[in-house]
Amino acid sequence: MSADLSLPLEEYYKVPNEMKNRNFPVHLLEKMRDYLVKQYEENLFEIYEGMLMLILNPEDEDKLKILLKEAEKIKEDFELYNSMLENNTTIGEYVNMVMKELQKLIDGLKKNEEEFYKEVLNSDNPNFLITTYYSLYLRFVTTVYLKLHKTNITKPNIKTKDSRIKDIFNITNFLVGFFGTPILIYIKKKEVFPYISELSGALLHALVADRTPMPSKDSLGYYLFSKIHVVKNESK
Amino acid sequence: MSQNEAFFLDTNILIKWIYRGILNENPAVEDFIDSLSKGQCVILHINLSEFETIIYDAYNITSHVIYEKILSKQDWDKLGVEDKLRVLEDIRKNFEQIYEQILTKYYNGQILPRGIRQILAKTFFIELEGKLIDSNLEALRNHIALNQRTDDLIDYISGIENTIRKNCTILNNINLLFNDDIIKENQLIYEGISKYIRNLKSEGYNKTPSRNDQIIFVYLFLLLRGRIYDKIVFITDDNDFERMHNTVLNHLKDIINGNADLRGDFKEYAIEANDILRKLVIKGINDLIAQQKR
Repeated sequence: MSADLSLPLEEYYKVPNEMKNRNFPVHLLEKMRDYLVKQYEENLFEIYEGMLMLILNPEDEDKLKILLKEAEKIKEDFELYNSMLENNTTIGEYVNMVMKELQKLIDGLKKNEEEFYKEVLNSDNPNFLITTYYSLYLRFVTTVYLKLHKTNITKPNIKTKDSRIKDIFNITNFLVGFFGTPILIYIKKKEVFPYISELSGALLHALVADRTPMPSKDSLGYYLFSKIHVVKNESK
Repeated sequence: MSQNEAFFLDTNILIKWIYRGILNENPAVEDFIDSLSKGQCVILHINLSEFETIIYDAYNITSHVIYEKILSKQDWDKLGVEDKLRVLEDIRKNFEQIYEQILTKYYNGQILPRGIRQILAKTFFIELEGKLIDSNLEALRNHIALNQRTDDLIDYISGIENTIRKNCTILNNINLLFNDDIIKENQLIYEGISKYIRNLKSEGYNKTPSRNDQIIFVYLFLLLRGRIYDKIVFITDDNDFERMHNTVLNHLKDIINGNADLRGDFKEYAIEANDILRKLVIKGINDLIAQQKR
């Protein structure tokens, strides 16, 4: 199962097949992607992991410097790659590509969801922090997808680099990778990321802020809320 | 009181307020918060997120206890109500030990021991007992171990956030923290904080301000600096912030007096930072309550 699952997460950044049209230098882009993947496959994961650790507990200054340097190098390489992509796609195509990758990621996560919970809970080290994180991440990515889906692209034919809405898609790409890392860490190393509670708190808060409370009689959450916070207050 | 004076609640005050019943807190804490207008009662996103992390930890352990003690035993459905009650009672009586066992075995270093998390986890368990007796194993498994759980958690927390929002403003001016300009006063504040941490360490304290606490402190400074508030009273339950505040003020004084900055390059920034930080008041909740009664 784990191998199936790491695929949608890891393939998120791959070059779109649909771009093989017109004058698009897809061979160049692919060459470059292969180079980047080879160059950074291991490294990128390490750097993401390092960034996650540091952003939540940035005490180790030496490590921070090394990471920043690495990140800078990667940023330059990827910027070249991005600029090729952004110069050779229209925003319509670019958006389409991000949305397709998001769809694949969501479908992959959804398909493996129950299997993942069962595998974690039946292992020698059942851990509820990672299973909850998985479903928070899935809900987060889905929420982002639904939001982006409503983006109104008034001029789909302008170049990506000239479009103002590309930023929100860029940030999405970053966040998807960033928040996805603890799940990859678990799949690859069977380790629970030490700051997973803090990250979950952030995801939870983002999801709650997006939601209007709608009581459902099945929900244990509302049940608990009314028992602890409503009934007791009224009787005080 | 000027319009831009506000009371900011630390995470520990949020806990005292929202869980006053469980913690047997002085009702004056709630009365005090009720006495503030919505604009005067402010909570930073960072504190809210910290608060929700505590609930998240506690709820996960409650789930783990139920999973291990009830769901893993296949015969739950076959038990009569009396036997079910007996099982629940056993868990309730030994909850603290079970909690510690699970924590040590599976969550070492991931979740802090005892304290508020344990109290909340036990409360969640006790309040769920009725549902544990009522529901069949299949439904329970969905809620406790599978995908219903996250929805439950989101529902619970959105209820709480709703309560908080009715009384207080939730502030998210995070862009202040990512200002590209190099703010020299900020540099001095960070120096002051580092000094405070060094002092604590040299005195043998292991518990130094968390990264969050440091960010909150700088955040409050920037809110005052940007004139978003004219005066901030930060309400907390311990003296960590007050000591950090004092050390930073002393560091600024050292610069102003020339003791820490012989050429006086930073004097004017230190004066400005000092003026700003004097608009920040750190107060213990009990002092405020006592003050209100007078």
